[in-house]
Amino acid sequence: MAAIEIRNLTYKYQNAEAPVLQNLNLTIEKGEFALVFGPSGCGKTTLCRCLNGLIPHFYGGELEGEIFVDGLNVRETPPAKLASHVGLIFQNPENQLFSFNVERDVAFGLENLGVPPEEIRKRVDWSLELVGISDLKDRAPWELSGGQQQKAAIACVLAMQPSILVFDEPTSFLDPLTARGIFDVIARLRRELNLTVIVVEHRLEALAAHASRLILMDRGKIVLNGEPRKILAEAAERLSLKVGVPSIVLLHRRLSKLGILKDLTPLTTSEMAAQLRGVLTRD
Amino acid sequence: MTYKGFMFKKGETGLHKLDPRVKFLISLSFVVCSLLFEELVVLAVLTLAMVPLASRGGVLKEWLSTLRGLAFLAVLIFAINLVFIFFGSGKSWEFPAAMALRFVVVVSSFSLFFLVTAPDEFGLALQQSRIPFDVVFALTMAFRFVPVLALEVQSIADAQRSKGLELDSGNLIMRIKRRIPLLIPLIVSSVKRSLEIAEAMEARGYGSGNPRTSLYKLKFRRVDLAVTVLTLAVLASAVYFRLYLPIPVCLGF
Amino acid sequence: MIKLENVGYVYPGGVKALRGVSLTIGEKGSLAIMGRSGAGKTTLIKHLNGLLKPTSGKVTVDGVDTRKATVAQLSRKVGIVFQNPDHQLFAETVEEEIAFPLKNFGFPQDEIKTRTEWVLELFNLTRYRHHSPLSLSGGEKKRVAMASVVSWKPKYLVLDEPTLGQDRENKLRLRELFEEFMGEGRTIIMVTHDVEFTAECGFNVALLVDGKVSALGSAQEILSNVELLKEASLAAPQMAELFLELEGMGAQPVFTVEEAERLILSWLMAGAEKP
Repeated sequence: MAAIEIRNLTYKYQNAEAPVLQNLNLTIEKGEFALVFGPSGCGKTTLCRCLNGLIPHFYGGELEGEIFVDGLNVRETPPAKLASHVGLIFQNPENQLFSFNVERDVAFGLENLGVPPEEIRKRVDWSLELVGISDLKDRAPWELSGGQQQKAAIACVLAMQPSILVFDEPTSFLDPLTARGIFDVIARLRRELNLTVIVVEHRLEALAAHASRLILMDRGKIVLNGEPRKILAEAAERLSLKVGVPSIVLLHRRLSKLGILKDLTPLTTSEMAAQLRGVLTRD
Repeated sequence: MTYKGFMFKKGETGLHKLDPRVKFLISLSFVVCSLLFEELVVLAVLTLAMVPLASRGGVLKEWLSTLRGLAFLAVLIFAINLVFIFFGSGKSWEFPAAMALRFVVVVSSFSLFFLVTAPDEFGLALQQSRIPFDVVFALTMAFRFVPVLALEVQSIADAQRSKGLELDSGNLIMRIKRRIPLLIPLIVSSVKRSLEIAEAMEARGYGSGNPRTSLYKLKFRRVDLAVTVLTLAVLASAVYFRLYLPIPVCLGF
Repeated sequence: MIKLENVGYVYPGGVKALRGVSLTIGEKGSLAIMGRSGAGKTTLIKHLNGLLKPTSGKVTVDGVDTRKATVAQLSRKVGIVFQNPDHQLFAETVEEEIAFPLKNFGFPQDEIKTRTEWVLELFNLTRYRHHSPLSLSGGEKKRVAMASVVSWKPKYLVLDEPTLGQDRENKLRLRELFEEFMGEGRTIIMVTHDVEFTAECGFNVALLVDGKVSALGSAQEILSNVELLKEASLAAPQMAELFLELEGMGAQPVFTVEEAERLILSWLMAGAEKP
């Protein structure tokens, strides 16, 4: 059973003129790390909402097609039930923390599910420990930095022990170094807990090396879907203006066209440096 | 700012550590007592009785600022009631004074309550008193986001002032008109925030239909019991006094 | 010229946001102010039009002490485009939104008309002129916010995180706008942590760390210095990182893909050194 199975998904928001997602088909296996990117308006945020049931249960609208998450039919399962299978972390860290201290926020989801207090206690401590913010548990959310808030938001979702985590542009509001910190947390959590992870992100440089699959969306459709190197190379060909293709990929493409580089598209600066060194020392 | 008198001030005092339900009982008792008596001396005593409590709670300064804020309204109440006497029941001036003082006691007792009771504590108290969670949550959220809104208005005002909007001049009508560019972004932003919070809540199982549990539970300690008994005793005596004993040497009517 | 002389700022709650910032802006071209969130960048720009007055030190705009002028007066010269368009947009139509500051500053009706037309065109917003600004997408809202400030052509244009959420194409247009603006003798001041964009713009860079300017220099100097960048919680552009790894080959600070390509080709033609 795949972690996520989407068949012929077409979705139109209420009062919208055109569907935001058109005949989408996607399968993501358990344990994968999928990176979704695309120009603004391509539907990636809408896709995230379809994965945890906010669409259609919270947003209404017209939904066609089938969405199965962890074997559950999203159309027939309310978000509250899906919450223990798939967790969604949003863009703005501030609006995901609405209690008076971090601990209470992390407990919120478990309280909703009616988990007994002793179990809540255990899971809250476990979750905070995993994300690395145990020392922040008594702090008020507004006292935390953006990065700390986002980590807290991750802990909140993690406490419900979903097997799938979806991140909708989690670092938009954060500076680059803090963003890297969050990506490290995501990668580590996936490894340690064997989770399926889907991240929607602009900053491809940092994540391309971690992802097992890259998915490019444009205007409600999946345009490219596959192994990172291949997808980056193709994306560089097609949409380099609208999507932030990493500079090393662009450079590699140029040099490959000139016949200078023949190896695979690099995912990190080190790889690119190694390729260049190889070529430059051959003379 | 009067609102400072109602904002929770963190502390580790004896008053802070009391169960919020007990603190509520204390404030309520002040209110009940103030309604039982019309005698100026009693009302004055009630007001003064809050001083040691506020002091004990480390919130004396803030509590006094509430009093200062109430002064204007109190004088207004006094004046209005005074006018009605001269055309009405013929009671002496002490009656409107008592009305004004009663108003002060009621509001300042709640000020004291909110100064030493954390909003989430207050929320827990309501929850454990069987008030539906939705209601409690809405209430505590309001508390939680008032400071956030205050910051936002500041940010909006900064942006609009930077576009030449003059907020500090003009007559009353102009001043109100000039605040529309502040109000609309605030409303829009608040609606957006509410939506995002609602999404986050749903994504964390809100409305699952299962009976809700709670990580924290208020514990009623011996001290809480003692204070409750004491407060009820004082309340009972007050009722007794009211019903059975004439109050001598004070300014009765 | 905007001069900040040993500016210190302490927030009412006691937080020391700025601790002795001295900067002269406008003499040598445009400036990018960079640093981690909380370093004091937004606090700093609020001093440029008098929204905040320094608790110590002095800020002068073209000789005028900001303590002696109103925000409206200073804003006529120093136009700040704040980060969050949701905290500004309120009018019924995009047109009215853009006309709002022009009315506040007392421009005559016909001027308002001409400028509104010009700026709608410039930011590709003409088709939205009668739409409600609240109905636009995030990126479009940002353009409306920017358009409404550019409309009064301030001498100094200050932007807080202008590239957040903008795709490559929009960033290109932004750069073109900057060049046009600077060509008219105006100065751009931008707060950003987009290192790549700053490198492409070629501005001077001031790094703000803990309320102080830790480094000031050209984009070339500052953005290739990995130590400095780390201190300011910034990530070096990929090209710079790449060439740093190629240090042994006599690398130079390179930021754009074009520059990199040229450099590599030149090496190949000259014959590279052995590592």
